[in-house]
Amino acid sequence: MSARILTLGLALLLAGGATAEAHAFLRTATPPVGATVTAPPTEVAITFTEGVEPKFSTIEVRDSGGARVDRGDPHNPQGVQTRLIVSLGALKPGVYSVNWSAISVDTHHTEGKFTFTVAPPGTAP
Amino acid sequence: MNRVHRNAALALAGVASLAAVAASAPSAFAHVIAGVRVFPVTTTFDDPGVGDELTLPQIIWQRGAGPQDDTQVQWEFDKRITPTTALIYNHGFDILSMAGSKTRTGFENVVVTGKWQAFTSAEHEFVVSVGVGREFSGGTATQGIGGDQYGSTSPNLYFGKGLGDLPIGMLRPFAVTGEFSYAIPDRRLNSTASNNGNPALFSGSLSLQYSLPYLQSQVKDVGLGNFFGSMVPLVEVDYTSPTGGPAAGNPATLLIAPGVIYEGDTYQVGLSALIPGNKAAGQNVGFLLQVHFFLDDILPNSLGKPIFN
Repeated sequence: MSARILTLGLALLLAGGATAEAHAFLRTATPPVGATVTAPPTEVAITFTEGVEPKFSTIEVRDSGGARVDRGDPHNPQGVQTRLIVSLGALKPGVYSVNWSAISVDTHHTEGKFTFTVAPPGTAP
Repeated sequence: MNRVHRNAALALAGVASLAAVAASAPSAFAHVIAGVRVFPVTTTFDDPGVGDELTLPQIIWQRGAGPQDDTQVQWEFDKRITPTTALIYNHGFDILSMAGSKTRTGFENVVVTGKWQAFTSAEHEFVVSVGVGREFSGGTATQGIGGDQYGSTSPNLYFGKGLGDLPIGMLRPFAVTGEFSYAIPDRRLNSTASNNGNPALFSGSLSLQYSLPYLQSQVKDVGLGNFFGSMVPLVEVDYTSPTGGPAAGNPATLLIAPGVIYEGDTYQVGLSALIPGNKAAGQNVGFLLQVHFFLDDILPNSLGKPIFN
């Protein structure tokens, strides 16, 4: 009976014939999550655990006053679906918040937020 | 996911009245997400939401009082009917072994639970669900080993709260989840404990989790890497107590389960120690291993999506 149940379970897993995809969670980011950087970044890049659809995914970067500082151009670099990049304007020293929303290639939605800090000029790395 | 947490404690007790223990329910849960918080599947009780998931298997091992070893092999299937409702099927198989005696085996009672994820707050990382579980007596269970002659009906309440709104960054990966249920037996135990009935049973479980994926992705990348950065250490506590009326052979039990969950992309693996918190919960530490699959990721176009969208 246990073998039959295990077989049924495996059959359920194989049924449907769909390729296994998963929710797209943040794996790494540049600048790193919670990091303090000495040079203002020109972009925020997020590497996800799964491919994401850039047309339906967003990265918004705001300064401490709530003003948006990204250029609203989320895109996959060179066709790498697991990576999403948004360009930035010139950043002044301060704390910036990143809010992202991703639709994975299998249409699952995930979201997240983190901050990074641009240190004043002359700060030791 | 449906989890009758009392059964782990009773198995640990190693009492002969395993026959009086309702079928335990394995863990299971797909991705319950509230905002940026992902609530993993806990190991000794159900998670706070609904999903399309499969636990295959969950194995509980406990060296009982004296020479008896108790092993439970359990499985669970969760299927969403609508995006916020699900039916959950739990079953299991028990193995009782004792030196000098023949090993005895048998099936647990089937438990089916209807569950509704009633409230989700993304902003506050908060989820509340309610459900009703029905434990079926009869042909699928083996009396005297893992099954009960009579079943029960249990209203259940589940919740999950992520602490991402705390002002202290390193505390934000914490989350608390819980499940509370009240088992109403089909046949209440009589005053002489001679009718094979069961007492009404209150069960309450809590977990305190620290999500390293949450730390890495929402608070600060501390360089844990993919493997350790996918782990959620946690402590679960399970309490069961008979309520009102005779309770011979069914004392209150307290179980403490420290463990860790590894979150893969389409699955998770949980490993917990089962530590008796009182004498009635047993005399030895047991262990629990759970392998869980997220069907919404593995089979997104069939079993992994609600029947009615």
